[in-house]
Amino acid sequence: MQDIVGDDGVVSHPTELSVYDCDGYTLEKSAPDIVVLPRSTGEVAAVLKLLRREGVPFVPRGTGTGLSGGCLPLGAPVMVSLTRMNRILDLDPVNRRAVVQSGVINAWVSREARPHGLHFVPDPSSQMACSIGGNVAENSGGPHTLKYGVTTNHVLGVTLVLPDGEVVRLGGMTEDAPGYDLLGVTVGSEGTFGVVTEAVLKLHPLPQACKTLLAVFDSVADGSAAVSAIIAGGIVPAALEMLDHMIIQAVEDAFHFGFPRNAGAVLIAELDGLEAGLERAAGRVRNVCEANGATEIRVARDDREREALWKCRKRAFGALGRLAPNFCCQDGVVPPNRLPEIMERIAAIGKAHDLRIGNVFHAGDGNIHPILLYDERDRDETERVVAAGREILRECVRLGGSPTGEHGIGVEKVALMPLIFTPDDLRTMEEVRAVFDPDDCCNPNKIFPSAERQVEVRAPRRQAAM
Amino acid sequence: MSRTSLIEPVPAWDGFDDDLRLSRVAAGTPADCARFTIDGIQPERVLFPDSAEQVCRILQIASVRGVALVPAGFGAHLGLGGSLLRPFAVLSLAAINALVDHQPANMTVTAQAGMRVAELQDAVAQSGQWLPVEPPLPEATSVGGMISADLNGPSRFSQGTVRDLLIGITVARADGTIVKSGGRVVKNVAGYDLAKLYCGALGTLGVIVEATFKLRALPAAVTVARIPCSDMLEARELLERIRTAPLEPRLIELLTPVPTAGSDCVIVVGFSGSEEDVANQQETLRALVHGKMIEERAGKAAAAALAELRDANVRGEALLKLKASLLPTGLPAFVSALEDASAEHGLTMAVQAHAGNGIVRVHVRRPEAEATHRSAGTLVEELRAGAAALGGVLIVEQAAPDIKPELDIWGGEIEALPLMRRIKNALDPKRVLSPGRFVGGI
Ligand SMILES: Cc1cc2nc3c(=O)[nH]c(=O)nc-3n(C[C@H](O)[C@H](O)[C@H](O)COP(=O)(O)OP(=O)(O)OC[C@H]3O[C@@H](n4cnc5c(N)ncnc54)[C@H](O)[C@@H]3O)c2cc1C
Repeated sequence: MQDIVGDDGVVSHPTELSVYDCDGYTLEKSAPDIVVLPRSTGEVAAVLKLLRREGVPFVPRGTGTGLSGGCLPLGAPVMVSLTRMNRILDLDPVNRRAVVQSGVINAWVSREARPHGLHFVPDPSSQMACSIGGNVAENSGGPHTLKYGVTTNHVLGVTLVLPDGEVVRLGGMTEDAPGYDLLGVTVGSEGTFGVVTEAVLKLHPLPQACKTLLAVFDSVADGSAAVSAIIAGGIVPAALEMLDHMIIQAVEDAFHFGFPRNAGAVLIAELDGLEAGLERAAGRVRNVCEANGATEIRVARDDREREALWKCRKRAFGALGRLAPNFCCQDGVVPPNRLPEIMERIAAIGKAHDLRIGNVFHAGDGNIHPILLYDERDRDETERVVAAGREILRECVRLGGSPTGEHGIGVEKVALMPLIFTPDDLRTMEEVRAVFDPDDCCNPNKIFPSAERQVEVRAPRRQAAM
Repeated sequence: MSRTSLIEPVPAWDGFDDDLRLSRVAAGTPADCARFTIDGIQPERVLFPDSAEQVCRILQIASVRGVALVPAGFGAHLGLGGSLLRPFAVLSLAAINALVDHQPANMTVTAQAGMRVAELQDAVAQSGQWLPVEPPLPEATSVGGMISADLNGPSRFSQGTVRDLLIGITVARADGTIVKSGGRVVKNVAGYDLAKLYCGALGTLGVIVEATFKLRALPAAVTVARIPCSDMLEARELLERIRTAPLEPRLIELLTPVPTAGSDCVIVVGFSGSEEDVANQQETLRALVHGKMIEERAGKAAAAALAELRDANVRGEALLKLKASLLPTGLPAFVSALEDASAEHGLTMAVQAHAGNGIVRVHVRRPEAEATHRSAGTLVEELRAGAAALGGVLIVEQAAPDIKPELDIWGGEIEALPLMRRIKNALDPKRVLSPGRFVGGI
C-alpha cells in the first residue's frame, strides 16, 4: 500500500485507527485494520486492484459525518479514505458546472462559486464538514433542497472506480448521456458500488432575494398543521424548518439568538426568488401561519440576522451536548399532511419509553429528525433508545412514508428494509449491486437484510460534538 | 453486435397464442398491428393486458416461447432507438390506465403506466397542480412511455426532467415478478434508486406498470416572448445577456433554420409564476433587448406557443431527426458545424435547442433529389464528430426506414457500456424486452 499511496498515506497505529471506528452514528463501533489515503483516481484504482488480488474487502469513507453507520467497517478490514482528494478541479460559471474531487467539503464548492453568483444547492446541516463523495453516496439533502432538489438532482456525472479497480465515467459534462442512467443509481448507493473519485456538479444561480420568517407556535402540532397548509396551498418556500421546545431551549442556551424560550415550536420559512414577488409570497405564508395559530411572526431584518438564524438551525445538533451525554438522531419521512399525527406519536413513544425526544427537522418535505437523548452508561436507556427509534420509523412507514429521507440505511436500518420492500424488490436491488460489485467486497454487510452481521458491537462512547 | 444474437430463439407463435388465450389476454386486430408499426415493420401481435398480473403472465409466456416483446403505450414514440433484432409482439399498457392516488395536500400523484399524460395533467389540474414535464403529444403519450423514452420539453430548463420528478416506480421484471423502488413521499433514500434505471431505458429492462411523481402548483400566469435575431452572433450575445440578467425564465429556446444566411433565428423565452412576477420579468426582458421587436404572448396564446415548441420534435417529416447534448456554450459552434455539413451535402435543416441545457434537436429535410444511403451515414458521423469536438454526444432520434439500417443510432463510444450490458443481463437475461433498441445493440 505504501508503494501506491506513500508512507504518509497509510494509517495503521491502533490509537490513530480509533478515529475511524464510527461515523456520526455512534451506537455501534468497529475500527478498520488499516486506513489508506489515496491522492488520485489512479491511486484509488491501484489500491482496489491490490485489494482484489489479495481478496480483501474494503469500505470507502468521506469525512465520517454519516448518520447511519455507512462507513462502519463490517467485515471490511481496509478503509479507503478520500480526504486527501480535496481539490476543486474546474469551475465553469458560464455553463454552471464544477468538477471536484470527492473529498472536497460540501461548503467549499459554494464558497468558490459565490463570486460568480452561483452555489451548489444541497446544503446538509453538516456542510462545513461532509464531503461531496459522502453526499453522492447518501443522496444527501438539506434545508434548501425542499425547493431545489437533493443531491441526485444536482450531479451530472461521476468518476467511479469499480471494486475491481476499473475506472468508469457515469454521466458527464453534458445532460442526457446516452445509455442507462447508471449515475442515477450510483447516487444514493451508500458506497456499495465502488469508490467515487470525482463528480461533475451543477451550480445554480444565487437567488436575487430572500425573505426569512420565523413563526412561533404553542405546539409542534400547530406548527405542523401550518407546514401542511403551506405545502397544500402550493407555496414552495426555499426552506421550511421546524424546531421544537426542547431544541429551541438548547439552541438558545448555546447561541443566544433570541428565540422565544417558552415557545412550543418555531418554524423557519424562507422564500427566495426575484425581489418583486417575494413580499406577496411572504404575506401568504404569514397568513397561513396565523390561521394555524402562530402567536408571533418575525422577519429577518437583514442578511446578518438571516445568517445567524441559519447558523443556529444548522448547529442545533451541536447544542444538544448540553442536554445529555449522548443522542441518536433519527431520520424518517411522512407525507407532510401526516406531520401532526407523527409528532403526536413521537411524543407518546417517548413517554412510553421514558425518554426525552427533541425534534428539529426539514418540515416541508415531511422529513423528520427526532433526536433521542440518552446516556450510554445506562444500558437500559440505550436499549430503550434503539427500541423507540424503531417504533417511530415503523410509524412513518405506517403513515405512508419511509424510514429514511436522507441519512441512508447503512447498518442502522437494515432490519427495517423488509417493512417497505418485498423479497423480490430486495433481490432486484442486490442483483444490481452485483453488477457493480460481483464479489461483495465493497462496503459489505450494509443496506440489505441478507447481509450477515459479523461485527461485535462495542459499548458506545460519548458523542463527538459537531 | 452482441454475441447472443447468434443464439436468438425461434419464436413459437402458435404456442404463444394458445398460452395467451388461456390467460385471457386481449389481442389486438390487424389494424392495431399496423398502428404499432416500428421502422416500417409491423409487430406479429399486439396485446392489451388489463392488469399488472396479466403483464407478468405475458412476460413469462414470451420468455418460454422465445417471443420478443416491445412494451408500449399508444405507439407515438416507437421510432426512438435502434431497429429491433427479431420479429416481435407489442405489449401495450393502454388498458392499464387508472389514476391510482393523487394526494393534493402532499403534491404527489401515482398513476398506472397506460394513463395518457394529458389525462393525468387534467386530473391534477383540478387541484391547481401539474406534473412539470412536457412530453411531446401528451394526449398520445402514456405515463410509462414518457418515463421509458425520457421525454422532456423546453421547461426542463427550470423544472428538471422526468428523473427529477419520478419518486417511485413499479415494474414487471422480464421474469414476470412485480418489483418496486422508491415510494410515495418526495424525500426517500431507502434502497437503491432503481427508478432512474428505467428512465430512458426504452423498455429494455422491464415493463413499467405504475409510477409516482412530485407535482408543482400550476402557475397563475404564463408568457412567451419571441425575439428575432439577424444571425447567430446576435443570438449568442442575447443569450448571454439573458443568462446574466435578474430573470428566472421557465424556458430558453433557440430556433434557427440551417443554412442560417438570409433567414432569421429566434430566441424564445418563457416565464411563469404569479401575474406580478411574470409582468416584471417581461419588463426586464424588454429593457434587455432594447427596442428590438419582440412578440409577446400571454394566456391561451402563450399556452399554444408552448405546445408548439413542445411538439415540434415529433411533428413534420424529416429524413433524420438528431439530438446533440452539448455544453450550453457549445451551441453556436455546433450550429456552424451544421452550416458546413449543410453546404457540403446540399441539405437543409431546422434546429431547435433547449439553449440553457445544451440540448439541440436537428431535423434534416429529405432532399429533392434522393440522397444516397452513404451520404446520410456520413452526415451523421460528421455531425457526431462535431459534437464530440465540443465535448458532447449525438444520437439519431428518428430516421426514415429506408436509411435507418445503415446508421449508427447511438454512436460507437458509449461510456460504461460493459456495465450497461451487465445490467441488462441481470434484469432481462433472455433478452425478451425490445432486443436491439438500446445502446450497443442491447
Ligand atoms: C451534525 C450533522 C448534521 C447533518 N445534517 C444532514 C442534513 O441536513 N442532511 C443530510 O442529508 N445529511 C446530514 N447529515 C449526515 C451526513 O453529513 C451526510 O450523510 C453526508 O453526506 C456524509 O458525508 P461524509 O463525507 O461524512 O460521508 P461518510 O460518513 O464518510 O460516508 C457516508 C457513506 O458514503 C460512503 N462514501 C463516502 N465517500 C465515498 C466515496 N468517495 N465513494 C463512495 N462511497 C463513499 C461511505 O462508504 C458511507 O457509506 C448530518 C450529519 C451530522 C453529523
